[in-house]
Amino acid sequence: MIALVAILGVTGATIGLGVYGVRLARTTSDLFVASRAVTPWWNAAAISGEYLSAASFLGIAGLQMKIGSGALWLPLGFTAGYLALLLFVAAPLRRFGAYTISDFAEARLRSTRVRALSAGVVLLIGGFYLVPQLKGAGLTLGEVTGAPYWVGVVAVGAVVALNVALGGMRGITYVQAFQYWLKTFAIAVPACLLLLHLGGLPERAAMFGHDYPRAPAGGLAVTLDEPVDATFPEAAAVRVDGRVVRVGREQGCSCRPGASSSRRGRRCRSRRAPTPSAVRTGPRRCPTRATRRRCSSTRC
Amino acid sequence: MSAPRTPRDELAEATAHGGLYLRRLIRRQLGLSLLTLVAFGGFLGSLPLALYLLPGLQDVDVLGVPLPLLAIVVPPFPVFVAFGWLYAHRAEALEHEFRELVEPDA
Repeated sequence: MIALVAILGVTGATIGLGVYGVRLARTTSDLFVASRAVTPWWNAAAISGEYLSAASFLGIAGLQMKIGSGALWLPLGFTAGYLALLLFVAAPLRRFGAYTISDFAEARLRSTRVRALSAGVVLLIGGFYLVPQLKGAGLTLGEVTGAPYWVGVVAVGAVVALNVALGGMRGITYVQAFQYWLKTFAIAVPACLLLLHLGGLPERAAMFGHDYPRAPAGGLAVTLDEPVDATFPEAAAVRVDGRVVRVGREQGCSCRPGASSSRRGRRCRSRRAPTPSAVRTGPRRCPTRATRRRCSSTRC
Repeated sequence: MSAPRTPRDELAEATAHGGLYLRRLIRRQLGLSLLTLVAFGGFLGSLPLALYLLPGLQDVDVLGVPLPLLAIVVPPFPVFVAFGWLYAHRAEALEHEFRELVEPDA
């Protein structure tokens, strides 16, 4: 409910700012460059709002989860792209007095074919840029409200298209600047709260760069009060390190014979059901398919 | 004998001379852009290269934060701003020089 209100509020504010921009957009210069009247701070906020998109906010977080801190080089690449944009697009365009890249290409190279080509390239890049944005929109709206995937895609596409078509660059600048502050707030607040609740900054930040959280020096003790059935169909990917394994059922093995075929070394030998009492064993070699990690199950 | 022709006249009449002035300005701006790109690319590329060539850096912690993480987050962004500022500054200076040439009395 709160989420729905928030979504409607942000969408309403976005459309409102776009409509506000409509009243100001009168000339070609208004539509394309907001009559060059946007101050650097507004422009910086607007460009940063572009930078904090669904792709960078959700996508980078997801990539970070998947491949680790190396994913942070990707947003750095986005940022470096802005410098290339300044050097080879924004500054020449401004010096030339052109509004769009296609205008510039046609006027500079005196060829309508180059104009069509550059327009095609711009649309291609824009299309690829939109794919993760619309994917993010569809997934997020579906996740929050349970709406079907296409609803988010269509809604975001319609709102943005309406704003650009009506408000031009001025409306878009205001919308992006507004969304930049909103998104910065929305990202910073949970991050600060998480830091406050989960502990000090150095420890959290140090964990960030490593692959896994490490167990304390004495080992991590997991206590299960009741017997739990657990089967691991892909035992090769399961890692169990421990000193005491209490096995109450036949399924309660972390290293099933069928799943642990060995290239060399011995197979899981025992096919007997283990005794229901606590069994203390030392960790033995359990030759799993790929990793040959240590496994202290009684079945191995 | 008429008054000596100024660069401004050449530009206004779009003569070969005027084209030369303009082309020189465009060349210099392009050269500046390329120089900035190479310098920035060299700086940015040196970071992962340093981490790759000196694997020992991977395990260095600064204030409890792994160095590879700091290398991504801390140096690039201020340097990025610095390169942008230097570029804009220098490009404006080139435009100013051109304006001096064209309008010496202004």
